[in-house]
Amino acid sequence: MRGNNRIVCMAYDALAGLSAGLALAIAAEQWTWLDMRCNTGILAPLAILAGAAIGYIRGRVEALTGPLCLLALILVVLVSTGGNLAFAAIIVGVTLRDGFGLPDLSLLLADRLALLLALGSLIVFACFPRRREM
Amino acid sequence: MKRSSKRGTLTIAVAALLALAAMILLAGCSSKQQASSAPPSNTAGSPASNSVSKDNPLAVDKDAKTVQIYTEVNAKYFVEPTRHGVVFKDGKNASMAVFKAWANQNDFYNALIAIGAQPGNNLDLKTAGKSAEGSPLDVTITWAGAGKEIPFNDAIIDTQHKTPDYRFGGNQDRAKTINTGCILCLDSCPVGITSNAAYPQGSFDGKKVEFRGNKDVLPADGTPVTVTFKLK
Repeated sequence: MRGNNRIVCMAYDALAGLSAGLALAIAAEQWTWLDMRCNTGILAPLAILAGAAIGYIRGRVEALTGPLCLLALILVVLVSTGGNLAFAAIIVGVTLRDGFGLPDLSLLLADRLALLLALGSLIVFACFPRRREM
Repeated sequence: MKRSSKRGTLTIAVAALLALAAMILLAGCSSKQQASSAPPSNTAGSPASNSVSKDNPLAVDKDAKTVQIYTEVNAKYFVEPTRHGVVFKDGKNASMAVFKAWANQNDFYNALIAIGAQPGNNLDLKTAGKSAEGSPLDVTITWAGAGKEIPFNDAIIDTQHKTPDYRFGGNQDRAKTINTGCILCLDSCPVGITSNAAYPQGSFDGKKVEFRGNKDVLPADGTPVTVTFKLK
Protein backbone atom coordinates (compact mmCIF):
# COMPACT_ATOMS: atom_id res chain seq x y z
CA MET A 1 0.00 0.00 0.00
CA ARG A 2 2.78 2.36 0.95
CA GLY A 3 4.58 1.56 -2.33
CA ASN A 4 1.42 2.33 -4.32
CA ASN A 5 1.09 5.65 -2.53
CA ARG A 6 4.63 6.57 -3.45
CA ILE A 7 3.76 5.87 -7.10
CA VAL A 8 0.76 8.21 -6.79
CA CYS A 9 3.02 10.91 -5.31
CA MET A 10 5.51 10.41 -8.14
CA ALA A 11 2.78 10.62 -10.80
CA TYR A 12 1.31 13.78 -9.24
CA ASP A 13 4.64 15.57 -8.95
CA ALA A 14 5.70 14.39 -12.42
CA LEU A 15 2.58 16.03 -13.89
CA ALA A 16 3.22 19.16 -11.87
CA GLY A 17 6.81 18.98 -13.13
CA LEU A 18 5.59 18.87 -16.75
CA SER A 19 3.68 22.14 -16.29
CA ALA A 20 6.58 23.73 -14.41
CA GLY A 21 9.10 22.48 -16.98
CA LEU A 22 7.10 23.81 -19.92
CA ALA A 23 6.72 27.15 -18.12
CA LEU A 24 10.48 27.31 -17.50
CA ALA A 25 11.28 26.24 -21.08
CA ILE A 26 8.98 28.87 -22.61
CA ALA A 27 10.34 31.53 -20.26
CA ALA A 28 13.90 30.51 -21.20
CA GLU A 29 13.03 30.78 -24.92
CA GLN A 30 12.46 34.48 -24.38
CA TRP A 31 16.19 34.82 -23.80
CA THR A 32 17.15 34.82 -27.48
CA TRP A 33 20.86 34.25 -26.82
CA LEU A 34 20.01 30.98 -25.05
CA ASP A 35 17.32 30.00 -27.55
CA MET A 36 19.88 30.30 -30.39
CA ARG A 37 22.32 28.00 -28.59
CA CYS A 38 20.34 25.18 -27.03
CA ASN A 39 17.02 23.40 -26.99
CA THR A 40 15.32 24.95 -23.96
CA GLY A 41 12.41 22.52 -24.37
CA ILE A 42 14.61 19.86 -22.74
CA LEU A 43 13.62 21.48 -19.43
CA ALA A 44 10.17 19.85 -19.73
CA PRO A 45 11.28 16.19 -19.59
CA LEU A 46 13.95 17.10 -17.02
CA ALA A 47 11.29 18.69 -14.81
CA ILE A 48 9.13 15.57 -15.12
CA LEU A 49 12.04 13.45 -13.86
CA ALA A 50 12.79 15.94 -11.10
CA GLY A 51 9.10 15.99 -10.10
CA ALA A 52 8.94 12.20 -9.98
CA ALA A 53 12.08 12.10 -7.82
CA ILE A 54 10.71 14.75 -5.46
CA GLY A 55 7.40 12.89 -5.19
CA TYR A 56 9.20 9.67 -4.36
CA ILE A 57 11.47 11.24 -1.75
CA ARG A 58 8.83 13.46 -0.14
CA GLY A 59 6.18 10.73 -0.02
CA ARG A 60 3.27 13.15 0.17
CA VAL A 61 1.27 15.38 -2.12
CA GLU A 62 0.96 19.13 -1.65
CA ALA A 63 -2.42 19.79 -3.24
CA LEU A 64 -1.65 23.31 -4.44
CA THR A 65 1.64 22.44 -6.19
CA GLY A 66 -0.02 21.12 -9.33
CA PRO A 67 -2.57 23.92 -9.85
CA LEU A 68 0.10 26.53 -9.16
CA CYS A 69 2.48 24.98 -11.73
CA LEU A 70 -0.31 24.92 -14.32
CA LEU A 71 -1.22 28.51 -13.48
CA ALA A 72 2.44 29.46 -13.93
CA LEU A 73 2.45 27.77 -17.35
CA ILE A 74 -0.67 29.62 -18.50
CA LEU A 75 0.70 32.95 -17.28
CA VAL A 76 4.10 32.43 -18.94
CA VAL A 77 2.46 31.46 -22.24
CA LEU A 78 0.09 34.43 -22.17
CA VAL A 79 2.83 36.92 -21.26
CA SER A 80 5.38 35.58 -23.76
CA THR A 81 2.88 35.64 -26.65
CA GLY A 82 1.18 38.89 -25.68
CA GLY A 83 -2.11 37.04 -25.34
CA ASN A 84 -2.10 35.97 -29.01
CA LEU A 85 -3.85 32.57 -28.91
CA ALA A 86 -2.49 31.37 -32.26
CA PHE A 87 1.05 32.15 -31.08
CA ALA A 88 0.31 30.46 -27.74
CA ALA A 89 -0.64 27.25 -29.53
CA ILE A 90 2.54 27.41 -31.62
CA ILE A 91 4.82 27.98 -28.63
CA VAL A 92 3.28 25.25 -26.44
CA GLY A 93 3.24 22.70 -29.28
CA VAL A 94 6.72 23.45 -30.55
CA THR A 95 8.25 23.44 -27.05
CA LEU A 96 6.64 20.08 -26.33
CA ARG A 97 7.79 18.72 -29.71
CA ASP A 98 11.37 19.96 -29.40
CA GLY A 99 11.66 19.13 -25.70
CA PHE A 100 10.72 15.50 -26.16
CA GLY A 101 12.81 15.13 -29.32
CA LEU A 102 9.90 14.53 -31.70
CA PRO A 103 10.78 16.73 -34.72
CA ASP A 104 8.38 14.90 -37.03
CA LEU A 105 5.35 15.40 -34.78
CA SER A 106 2.89 17.80 -36.42
CA LEU A 107 2.11 20.97 -34.53
CA LEU A 108 -1.58 20.08 -34.57
CA LEU A 109 -0.89 16.74 -32.89
CA ALA A 110 1.50 18.37 -30.42
CA ASP A 111 -1.21 20.87 -29.47
CA ARG A 112 -3.76 18.10 -28.98
CA LEU A 113 -1.25 16.23 -26.84
CA ALA A 114 -0.73 19.40 -24.78
CA LEU A 115 -4.49 19.74 -24.36
CA LEU A 116 -4.80 16.13 -23.21
CA LEU A 117 -1.93 16.54 -20.78
CA ALA A 118 -3.45 19.75 -19.40
CA LEU A 119 -6.85 18.13 -18.90
CA GLY A 120 -5.28 14.97 -17.46
CA SER A 121 -3.24 17.08 -15.06
CA LEU A 122 -6.33 18.98 -13.96
CA ILE A 123 -8.23 15.77 -13.24
CA VAL A 124 -5.32 14.45 -11.18
CA PHE A 125 -4.87 17.76 -9.35
CA ALA A 126 -8.59 17.93 -8.57
CA CYS A 127 -8.39 14.46 -7.00
CA PHE A 128 -6.11 15.82 -4.27
CA PRO A 129 -8.27 18.29 -2.36
CA ARG A 130 -5.94 18.47 0.61
CA ARG A 131 -2.43 17.63 1.67
CA ARG A 132 -2.00 13.88 1.86
CA GLU A 133 0.48 12.08 3.99
CA MET A 134 1.38 8.84 2.28
CA MET B 1 -11.03 20.01 9.97
CA LYS B 2 -12.75 23.20 8.82
CA ARG B 3 -9.43 24.56 7.63
CA SER B 4 -8.75 21.41 5.61
CA SER B 5 -12.24 21.58 4.08
CA LYS B 6 -11.73 25.23 3.09
CA ARG B 7 -8.41 24.36 1.54
CA GLY B 8 -10.03 21.52 -0.39
CA THR B 9 -12.73 23.82 -1.72
CA LEU B 10 -10.13 26.39 -2.69
CA THR B 11 -8.08 23.78 -4.54
CA ILE B 12 -11.11 22.51 -6.46
CA ALA B 13 -12.08 26.09 -7.34
CA VAL B 14 -8.55 26.85 -8.56
CA ALA B 15 -8.48 23.59 -10.52
CA ALA B 16 -11.84 24.35 -12.13
CA LEU B 17 -10.72 27.85 -13.12
CA LEU B 18 -7.50 26.48 -14.55
CA ALA B 19 -9.44 23.81 -16.45
CA LEU B 20 -11.59 26.46 -18.02
CA ALA B 21 -8.60 28.66 -18.88
CA ALA B 22 -6.60 25.74 -20.29
CA MET B 23 -9.52 24.53 -22.39
CA ILE B 24 -10.18 27.98 -23.82
CA LEU B 25 -6.48 28.55 -24.45
CA LEU B 26 -5.54 25.22 -25.97
CA ALA B 27 -8.78 24.12 -27.61
CA GLY B 28 -9.23 27.52 -29.20
CA CYS B 29 -5.68 27.53 -30.38
CA SER B 30 -5.82 23.99 -31.71
CA SER B 31 -8.77 24.82 -33.89
CA LYS B 32 -7.00 27.91 -35.23
CA GLN B 33 -3.92 25.88 -36.00
CA GLN B 34 -6.04 23.20 -37.63
CA ALA B 35 -7.65 25.79 -39.85
CA SER B 36 -4.33 27.24 -40.90
CA SER B 37 -2.63 23.90 -41.44
CA ALA B 38 -5.10 22.55 -43.97
CA PRO B 39 -3.04 21.49 -46.99
CA PRO B 40 -3.35 24.02 -49.78
CA SER B 41 -4.61 22.79 -53.12
CA ASN B 42 -2.02 22.17 -55.79
CA THR B 43 -1.93 24.63 -58.63
CA ALA B 44 -0.13 24.72 -61.90
CA GLY B 45 1.39 28.08 -61.11
CA SER B 46 4.14 26.80 -58.85
CA PRO B 47 6.69 25.31 -61.20
CA ALA B 48 9.38 24.68 -58.59
CA SER B 49 7.22 22.97 -56.00
CA ASN B 50 7.42 19.51 -57.56
CA SER B 51 11.11 19.44 -58.51
CA VAL B 52 12.43 18.62 -55.03
CA SER B 53 11.14 16.34 -52.31
CA LYS B 54 12.27 14.65 -49.09
CA ASP B 55 13.80 11.85 -51.16
CA ASN B 56 15.37 14.23 -53.66
CA PRO B 57 16.01 17.38 -51.60
CA LEU B 58 18.46 19.15 -53.93
CA ALA B 59 18.06 20.06 -57.60
CA VAL B 60 20.66 21.84 -59.72
CA ASP B 61 19.89 23.49 -63.05
CA LYS B 62 23.18 24.63 -64.58
CA ASP B 63 21.48 26.29 -67.56
CA ALA B 64 19.11 28.34 -65.45
CA LYS B 65 21.86 28.76 -62.79
CA THR B 66 19.53 27.72 -60.01
CA VAL B 67 19.76 25.47 -56.96
CA GLN B 68 16.52 24.32 -55.36
CA ILE B 69 16.16 22.69 -51.97
CA TYR B 70 13.30 21.00 -50.13
CA THR B 71 12.43 22.57 -46.78
CA GLU B 72 9.60 22.61 -44.24
CA VAL B 73 8.28 25.59 -42.28
CA ASN B 74 9.02 25.86 -38.55
CA ALA B 75 6.26 28.02 -37.04
CA LYS B 76 8.18 28.60 -33.81
CA TYR B 77 9.95 31.46 -35.53
CA PHE B 78 6.69 33.18 -36.41
CA VAL B 79 6.74 33.99 -32.69
CA GLU B 80 10.37 34.03 -31.54
CA PRO B 81 13.27 35.89 -33.24
CA THR B 82 16.00 33.98 -35.06
CA ARG B 83 19.02 34.63 -37.27
CA HIS B 84 18.69 31.33 -39.11
CA GLY B 85 16.78 31.31 -42.39
CA VAL B 86 17.43 27.79 -43.73
CA VAL B 87 19.23 25.00 -41.83
CA PHE B 88 19.85 21.32 -42.68
CA LYS B 89 17.64 19.03 -40.56
CA ASP B 90 20.59 17.09 -39.12
CA GLY B 91 22.72 20.14 -38.34
CA LYS B 92 23.20 21.45 -34.80
CA ASN B 93 20.96 24.44 -35.51
CA ALA B 94 18.22 22.43 -37.25
CA SER B 95 15.46 23.47 -34.86
CA MET B 96 16.46 27.15 -34.86
CA ALA B 97 15.53 28.16 -38.41
CA VAL B 98 12.40 29.37 -40.15
CA PHE B 99 12.95 26.65 -42.78
CA LYS B 100 14.29 23.17 -42.00
CA ALA B 101 16.08 21.79 -45.08
CA TRP B 102 16.45 18.19 -46.15
CA ALA B 103 19.54 19.04 -48.22
CA ASN B 104 22.95 18.88 -46.54
CA GLN B 105 24.83 22.22 -46.33
CA ASN B 106 27.93 20.67 -47.92
CA ASP B 107 26.00 19.34 -50.91
CA PHE B 108 24.37 22.74 -51.18
CA TYR B 109 27.81 24.40 -51.26
CA ASN B 110 28.91 22.08 -54.07
CA ALA B 111 25.69 22.80 -55.96
CA LEU B 112 26.36 26.55 -55.86
CA ILE B 113 29.88 25.93 -57.15
CA ALA B 114 28.38 23.79 -59.94
CA ILE B 115 26.23 26.68 -61.20
CA GLY B 116 29.30 28.94 -61.30
CA ALA B 117 28.89 30.89 -58.05
CA GLN B 118 32.05 32.20 -56.35
CA PRO B 119 32.34 31.93 -52.55
CA GLY B 120 33.33 35.07 -50.61
CA ASN B 121 35.23 33.37 -47.77
CA ASN B 122 36.01 36.77 -46.24
CA LEU B 123 34.59 36.15 -42.76
CA ASP B 124 35.85 34.26 -39.76
CA LEU B 125 34.86 34.12 -36.10
CA LYS B 126 36.75 37.40 -35.39
CA THR B 127 35.42 39.61 -38.19
CA ALA B 128 32.40 41.13 -36.44
CA GLY B 129 31.11 44.18 -38.29
CA LYS B 130 32.07 42.92 -41.77
CA SER B 131 29.55 41.85 -44.39
CA ALA B 132 29.66 38.62 -46.36
CA GLU B 133 31.03 38.75 -49.91
CA GLY B 134 30.70 36.28 -52.77
CA SER B 135 28.38 35.91 -55.72
CA PRO B 136 25.02 37.65 -55.28
CA LEU B 137 21.96 35.43 -55.29
CA ASP B 138 18.23 35.84 -55.80
CA VAL B 139 16.38 33.74 -53.26
CA THR B 140 12.71 32.85 -53.70
CA ILE B 141 10.27 30.38 -52.19
CA THR B 142 7.18 28.57 -53.37
CA TRP B 143 4.92 25.76 -52.20
CA ALA B 144 1.94 23.81 -53.50
CA GLY B 145 -0.84 26.34 -53.71
CA ALA B 146 1.34 29.45 -53.61
CA GLY B 147 0.94 29.86 -57.36
CA LYS B 148 4.12 31.89 -57.81
CA GLU B 149 7.69 32.41 -56.67
CA ILE B 150 7.76 34.68 -53.63
CA PRO B 151 10.88 36.69 -52.71
CA PHE B 152 12.49 35.13 -49.65
CA ASN B 153 12.48 38.43 -47.84
CA ASP B 154 8.68 38.63 -48.04
CA ALA B 155 8.63 35.55 -45.84
CA ILE B 156 10.79 37.24 -43.21
CA ILE B 157 9.86 40.10 -40.92
CA ASP B 158 12.99 42.22 -40.55
CA THR B 159 12.77 44.91 -37.86
CA GLN B 160 15.03 47.26 -39.89
CA HIS B 161 13.27 46.68 -43.24
CA LYS B 162 16.51 46.67 -45.26
CA THR B 163 16.59 45.36 -48.81
CA PRO B 164 18.27 41.94 -48.59
CA ASP B 165 21.58 41.19 -50.29
CA TYR B 166 22.03 37.42 -50.35
CA ARG B 167 25.61 36.31 -50.99
CA PHE B 168 27.42 33.02 -51.41
CA GLY B 169 29.57 33.47 -48.30
CA GLY B 170 31.30 30.09 -48.71
CA ASN B 171 32.73 28.98 -45.33
CA GLN B 172 32.89 25.35 -46.40
CA ASP B 173 35.57 24.28 -43.91
CA ARG B 174 33.72 25.67 -40.90
CA ALA B 175 30.41 24.36 -42.24
CA LYS B 176 31.95 20.88 -42.24
CA THR B 177 33.76 21.05 -38.91
CA ILE B 178 31.17 22.91 -36.84
CA ASN B 179 28.23 21.23 -38.65
CA THR B 180 25.58 23.76 -37.67
CA GLY B 181 23.79 22.87 -40.91
CA CYS B 182 23.41 26.57 -41.79
CA ILE B 183 22.44 27.11 -45.43
CA LEU B 184 21.07 30.66 -45.30
CA CYS B 185 21.77 33.11 -42.46
CA LEU B 186 19.70 36.25 -42.11
CA ASP B 187 22.78 38.36 -41.26
CA SER B 188 26.41 37.96 -42.36
CA CYS B 189 27.78 34.74 -40.90
CA PRO B 190 31.21 33.05 -40.92
CA VAL B 191 29.66 29.56 -40.89
CA GLY B 192 26.56 29.76 -43.09
CA ILE B 193 26.95 28.88 -46.79
CA THR B 194 24.91 31.92 -47.81
CA SER B 195 24.26 35.11 -45.84
CA ASN B 196 22.29 38.31 -46.04
CA ALA B 197 25.09 40.85 -46.52
CA ALA B 198 22.72 43.74 -45.86
CA TYR B 199 23.47 43.06 -42.19
CA PRO B 200 27.10 42.84 -41.03
CA GLN B 201 28.33 39.95 -38.91
CA GLY B 202 27.05 40.27 -35.34
CA SER B 203 23.97 42.37 -36.18
CA PHE B 204 21.54 39.87 -34.65
CA ASP B 205 23.69 39.01 -31.63
CA GLY B 206 24.19 42.74 -31.07
CA LYS B 207 20.40 43.18 -31.02
CA LYS B 208 20.55 45.63 -33.94
CA VAL B 209 17.97 43.63 -35.86
CA GLU B 210 15.51 40.80 -35.31
CA PHE B 211 14.04 38.40 -37.85
CA ARG B 212 10.86 36.34 -37.66
CA GLY B 213 8.93 34.23 -40.14
CA ASN B 214 6.00 36.17 -41.63
CA LYS B 215 2.86 34.24 -40.68
CA ASP B 216 0.81 36.34 -43.10
CA VAL B 217 2.88 35.11 -46.03
CA LEU B 218 4.08 31.63 -45.06
CA PRO B 219 1.98 28.46 -44.96
CA ALA B 220 1.42 26.50 -41.75
CA ASP B 221 4.04 24.66 -39.70
CA GLY B 222 5.43 21.60 -41.49
CA THR B 223 4.32 22.65 -44.98
CA PRO B 224 6.87 21.67 -47.67
CA VAL B 225 8.45 24.74 -49.25
CA THR B 226 10.91 24.86 -52.15
CA VAL B 227 13.66 27.45 -51.72
CA THR B 228 15.33 28.51 -54.98
CA PHE B 229 18.75 30.19 -55.15
CA LYS B 230 19.46 31.80 -58.51
CA LEU B 231 22.85 33.20 -59.46
CA LYS B 232 22.43 36.85 -60.47
